[in-house]
Amino acid sequence: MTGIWAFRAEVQKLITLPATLLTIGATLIGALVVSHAVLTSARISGGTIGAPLLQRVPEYLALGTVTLGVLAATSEHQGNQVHTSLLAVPQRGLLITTKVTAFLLICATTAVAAMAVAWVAMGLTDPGMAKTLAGASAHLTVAGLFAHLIGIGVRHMIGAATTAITLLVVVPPIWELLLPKAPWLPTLASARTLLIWSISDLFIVGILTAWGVLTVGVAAARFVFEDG
Amino acid sequence: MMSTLRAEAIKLATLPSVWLASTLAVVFPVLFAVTNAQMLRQALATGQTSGLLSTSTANEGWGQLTFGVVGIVVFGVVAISSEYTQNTQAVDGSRQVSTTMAALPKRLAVLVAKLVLVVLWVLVLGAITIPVTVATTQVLLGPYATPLGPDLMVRFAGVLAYWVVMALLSFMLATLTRSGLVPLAFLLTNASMVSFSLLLAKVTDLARFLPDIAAYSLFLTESPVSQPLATVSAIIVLTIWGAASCGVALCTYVLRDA
Repeated sequence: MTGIWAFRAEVQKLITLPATLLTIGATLIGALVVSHAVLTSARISGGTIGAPLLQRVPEYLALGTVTLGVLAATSEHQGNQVHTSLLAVPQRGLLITTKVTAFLLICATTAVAAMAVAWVAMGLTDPGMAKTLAGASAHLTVAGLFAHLIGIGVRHMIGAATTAITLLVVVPPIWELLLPKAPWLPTLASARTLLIWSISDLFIVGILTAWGVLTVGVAAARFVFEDG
Repeated sequence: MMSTLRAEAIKLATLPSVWLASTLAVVFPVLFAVTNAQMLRQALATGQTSGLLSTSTANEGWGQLTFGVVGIVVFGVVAISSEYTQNTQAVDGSRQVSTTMAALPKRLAVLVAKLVLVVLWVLVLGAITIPVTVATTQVLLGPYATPLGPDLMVRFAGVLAYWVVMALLSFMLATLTRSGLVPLAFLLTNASMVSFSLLLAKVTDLARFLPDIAAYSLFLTESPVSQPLATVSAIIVLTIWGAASCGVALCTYVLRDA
């Protein structure tokens, strides 16, 4: 029962944070602007208008879910809200589990809504669009989740934002260009599995899982065993 | 003014994140230039160029300098956002800006000192990174390198101007929002290959008035827009962006409650 109350409290804390609402709003507006720009760019260059175009949108929208992840994880450490949270729910393992679960709910909802906005704005009617939307939303959610776990591990907003944006957004496209056969970064692995809705390449699934285990382990260890 | 400058310089130089940002500004361009130059040389030597975006070596080294903006943006942000970060309860939970204003009540002088130091710091970082990146690329490309032409100094100054304007822009956004997250998220992403400016450049030529696209026309031989700005126009555009950033930051800091 404590878990359910803690989960509800974490969801309420997240959705009543003005910065969270602003980020979600900016992500949805970003979806509209980016999808329009991607579509116009494809029309100008004479490219194919179809599902692959929609799969380009998460490259840009990842900024929204990554920012949301960092914000949700570090805002409690900016002031001393985390002390109050720990007073209310002293079981640290339970608290971090509810925090991450509550964030996942908000992040996944934002990702689905943003991709739906992009889909409607592009006016695509290809068959199998549901799979493309599901893959893109899952990719965006995973990017946000990694950023959230980095935020819990780093605690400091600027440090977490720099680490998360560099690792998840800035370096992957350069890495892919220089080392196309080595998708060792989390969002690269996610782009080759979740984004295209395929888990046939077990090596890449393994990379994604390894990143998941590493970030969950570091975040949980720091939250549970360290003061603050 | 000199004592204000000295005080701000000490604060800046003793921030660990400033040194981390400076390291990123130097290491990123050099690292990417080395990796790319080795790959390009091998491809040109073996004739296997099908996997390359371009076989031109005219922008090698110069193009990789755009990734230094990652460090420059972080530097521009932490130079001011550190003032607004809340301290721990052990030191009363206040923000550094309160102490700064108590010690130096002349807000204009404080912000001018900060801006001067930000510009000087970025110029020093550029003066180190640009020659190292370009020279390393020339050496690694060997016979395939494009000789440095008479426009070398214009390109050098173009990168410096680009870095300074991006630092001022991130500084201004951090002052405006009293937080580093928004400018970091937006400007770091824009410094990557997933750039909103580059996406906009594919849609409209008006993107040439954006600070990064305007700066590219000073040091890159290929532009993402079909009608890039001429050198003088690009300098004017960058000056306007830099001056506007300084103006907004000054007005915000001086006229608004901390």
